[in-house]
Amino acid sequence: MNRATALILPLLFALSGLAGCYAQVEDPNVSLTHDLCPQATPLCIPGGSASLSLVNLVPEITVGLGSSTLLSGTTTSAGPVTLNNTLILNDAVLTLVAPASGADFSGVTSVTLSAIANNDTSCTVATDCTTIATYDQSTDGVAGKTLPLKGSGVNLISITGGGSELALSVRANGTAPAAAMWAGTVTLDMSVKARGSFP
Amino acid sequence: MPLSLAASMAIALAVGTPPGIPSDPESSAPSGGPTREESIASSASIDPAPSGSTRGEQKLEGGDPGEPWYALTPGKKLALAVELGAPQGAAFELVFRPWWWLRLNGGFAYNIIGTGIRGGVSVAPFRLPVTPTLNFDLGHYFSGDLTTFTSSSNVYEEALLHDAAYDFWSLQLGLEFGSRDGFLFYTRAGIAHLSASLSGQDVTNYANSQLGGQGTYAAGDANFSALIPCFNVGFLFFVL
Repeated sequence: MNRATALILPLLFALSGLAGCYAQVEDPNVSLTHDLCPQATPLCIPGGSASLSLVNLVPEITVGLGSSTLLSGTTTSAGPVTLNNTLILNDAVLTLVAPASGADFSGVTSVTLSAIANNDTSCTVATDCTTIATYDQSTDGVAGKTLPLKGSGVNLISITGGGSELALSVRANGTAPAAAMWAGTVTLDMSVKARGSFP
Repeated sequence: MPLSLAASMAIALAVGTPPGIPSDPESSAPSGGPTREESIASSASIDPAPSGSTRGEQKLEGGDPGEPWYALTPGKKLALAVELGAPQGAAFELVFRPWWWLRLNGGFAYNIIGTGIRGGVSVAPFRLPVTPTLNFDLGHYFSGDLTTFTSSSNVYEEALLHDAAYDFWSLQLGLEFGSRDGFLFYTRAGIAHLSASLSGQDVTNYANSQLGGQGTYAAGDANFSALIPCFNVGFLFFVL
């Protein structure tokens, strides 16, 4: 490469760079763990090896996301820059915390984790439910104390509309954990990103 | 951004001659007129190439006749530089000029929120009263405090903003005015890239402070990056 080429290339790069100015903040690993039972009721979820057929494995979960500015809308303003915000669910995990033995998710064959609107926990209206993660025993393996769900790449901020809470339903097929009552947690592994382009 | 300057430089470099100098001496010089070497020498105020030379550009590069291109430039080679700009901040640097068209710089940086180090390279391919340059710099700012400029809602947000270390690089076109062996004033504009990492622990603490209800956040390191326009002014003073 001669000297002229060595100068022209960065020159063109600099000029093209001006057209692509941006600012971005990103955290690809943000996990939010939420208890499925209130502290006052250590074991709150019915099990007993009940048959499940697209019914709620656990009661409706309302997850608080917090009041960060980045979550207040799919677009927010920061000075002259308009930021496009995304909160993507990478995956989720249901964990059976109690009882410590005698109960697991091995009887569960499939799970659909949905974000719900209008308190429609049964998803009677299709538009009230947005599938955000799924589990299928045939492809994901038999679950034990933990049940992994694969995220579907939905921007959760577009579901919450900038609100600070996310209502979730967990519907399942198969059989519930053997214990008469059980408790657990749901962990949402997410990536958050805010990016603004200018001019 | 001086687009016309950029285009002029690109075209001139592509044909191997500075702006204002005919690229084809055979066609541009009138019969009996100056040769290419003479034109270049006239424009650059230097002697024409010795008889038999086929590279007028070599004369433009300023070496003594017979000197190889890599011979160190005669005259002063060391300079002090002071620069002020955004977003790089201020800099105090030592500049080394091995050849007349190339300068290497390195020194300290300061931008109110913190201090850092920086270095870079500048290419000045022409000898003109107002000299266009191409400049690349990179640097690192050590721990800085962004709370100087922003108000934080709680101690966790303050902790997040308190450690504002970041890296940057910039690519700029510049114009220089003054003496190449004395005092040079310059102005530059281009793009700058900033990148910073925010501690996962600080992000976690801040996220949990915003949660307020059931649940617990745990976050990995967050990354900030930006590609933005930049602008600098400064001067060089050649001392040795």
